[in-house]
Amino acid sequence: MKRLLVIEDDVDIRELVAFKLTQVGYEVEAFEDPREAVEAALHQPPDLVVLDIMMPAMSGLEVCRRLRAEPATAVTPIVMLTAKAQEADVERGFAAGATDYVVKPFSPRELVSRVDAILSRAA
Amino acid sequence: MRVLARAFVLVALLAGLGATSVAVASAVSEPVTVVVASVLAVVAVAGAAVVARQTARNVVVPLWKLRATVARLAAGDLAARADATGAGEVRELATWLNELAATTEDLTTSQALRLLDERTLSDMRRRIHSSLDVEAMLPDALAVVAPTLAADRVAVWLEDGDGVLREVATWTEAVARQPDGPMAPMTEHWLHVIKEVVARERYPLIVDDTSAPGAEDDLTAVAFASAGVRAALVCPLRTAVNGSRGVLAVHDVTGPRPWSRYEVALAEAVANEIATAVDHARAYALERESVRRLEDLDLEKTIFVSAVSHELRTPLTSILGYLEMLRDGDQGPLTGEQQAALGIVQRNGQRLASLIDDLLMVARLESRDHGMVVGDVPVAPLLRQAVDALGPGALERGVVLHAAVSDDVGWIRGDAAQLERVMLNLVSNAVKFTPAGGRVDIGACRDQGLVRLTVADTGIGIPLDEQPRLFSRFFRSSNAVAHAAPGTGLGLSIVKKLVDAHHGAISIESVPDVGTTVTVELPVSLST
Repeated sequence: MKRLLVIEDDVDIRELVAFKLTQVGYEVEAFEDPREAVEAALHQPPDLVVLDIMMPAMSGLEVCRRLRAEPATAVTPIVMLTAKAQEADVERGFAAGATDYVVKPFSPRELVSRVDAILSRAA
Repeated sequence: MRVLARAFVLVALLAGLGATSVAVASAVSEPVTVVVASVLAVVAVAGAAVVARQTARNVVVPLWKLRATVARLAAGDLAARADATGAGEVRELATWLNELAATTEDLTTSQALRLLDERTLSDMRRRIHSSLDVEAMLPDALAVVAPTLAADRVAVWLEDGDGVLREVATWTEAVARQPDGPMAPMTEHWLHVIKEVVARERYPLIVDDTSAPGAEDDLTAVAFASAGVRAALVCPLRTAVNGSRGVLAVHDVTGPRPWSRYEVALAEAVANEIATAVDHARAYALERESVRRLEDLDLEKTIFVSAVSHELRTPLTSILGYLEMLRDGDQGPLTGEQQAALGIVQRNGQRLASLIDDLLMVARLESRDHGMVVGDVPVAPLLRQAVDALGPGALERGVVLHAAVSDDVGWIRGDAAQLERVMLNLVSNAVKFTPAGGRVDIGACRDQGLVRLTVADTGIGIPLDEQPRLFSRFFRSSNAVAHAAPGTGLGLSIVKKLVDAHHGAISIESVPDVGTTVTVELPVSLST
């Protein structure tokens, strides 16, 4: 079973995403605090990370850079959740190492299909 | 000339007397008579000689000198003056000539001074207008003026925000600058006195000698004396901006100075120039400050709008996400009514989402930094993308969407994403307002330096009286509202802003119940 990390500070969105991904058969670990999530990811690298970009404790871009800097998570797929649709923000996300992104408000169904697509490509 | 005439008459008379005496003596032929006659003749001749010599001394020599003086004057020696000697008439003549020469010299000097003033003023003007920073430009300008005024120090004092006179610029001669020199800074008290006097007098204050008898009764003289100044000129500066005022003060440290009217006039002219320059600089500073504030405000607005849009999107994500989950039956099956009710919630949630998108777009377009990524954008793919994206939806509604474009239409210089947005907005509008059975035709053609894009529909049209307001934000036509067509009323205002940002033009022709044609003209890319 593929293991996914969901890092999102908003509890409702976190639970929604975790629910949908679990429903289609992934093993999901959800984190509110990005620092704990980075630790967990480095301890045991997941198959994919769903990452919110705007979090108070640590920005999603920073999380992305940290994961990319470590050999264990250097190529782990990362899907960004962003509230900003501006090209500059998306570019920054890709520059930090994101694999894909969805813009809030996103359809949970669409997020699941993107995750599926990325993991099937990786397999 | 009367003197001369009298002298000649006298000489003639005496000579005549002499001659007559000789003639009488010859005729009488008496020895005594002859002697008398001869003596008379000698006396007469001697008298004539004396008269002639006196004439020479009193008349001829002074006249010669006068002639020489006139010659010197004519040769340009304006300082030449005649000696007032000789006979009364000649003296009078010399006095007249001297008066005439003095007037000529005075006139010539004043003309020269005026020329010098003009040159000084224009040089100063050039320097004063070289910068809009008052405190930077003034010392330079004062340095130009000071030598012409032969001043030891020239200072500009301006009222600050509290109405207190402050020295903003000064030029000081090396001698006056010496630390053990006679000059001392003017105290605030005396500056205040000068300000009051200037405000009352409205004319230049002229102090020839601060040590002259009676100067202690003149407050201005006492003020300058306190600063070790012997003579001073004070001209008011009247600036229009802020209504604030100031003073141009010309100092002479070394001695009493009878200021000439040219110097006073020059100082006044300088004061006027400075007042104008200070006005300009202050107006510019105010302008700059307000521009800066607007920029700050603009930045704040952009930050605010993106923060708000983020804050709105987060709850909307939960609302729409959980709704989707419910409607997908993830939490159990729903009745038909429940599905329909949640459908309405979802539609309105999505409407809210696009409203946030559009608002964010408007805010971005209105901020100074458009974030435009400019490149060469091919026209044909723009149209085909719009058809690909919106064709299936149009078909579902029973509307034919057709694009007629050839690849040789060319390229537009602009931001590809923004131009795509223009096309998508216009085409989706056209599809949205066209009833089933209608059609939407999009096309592109080249017209010299322009690419003309057209989106023509057979839709409901826009009422004539509402057409002028089409590009206003949040404007929605009455028939669109009546048809319950979804929309935020921001689409066309965004399109207009995007077209404007591309130096293009947009126009709309519409007939209610017949259709609408939107035409966008954009400059063709020159590099392709």
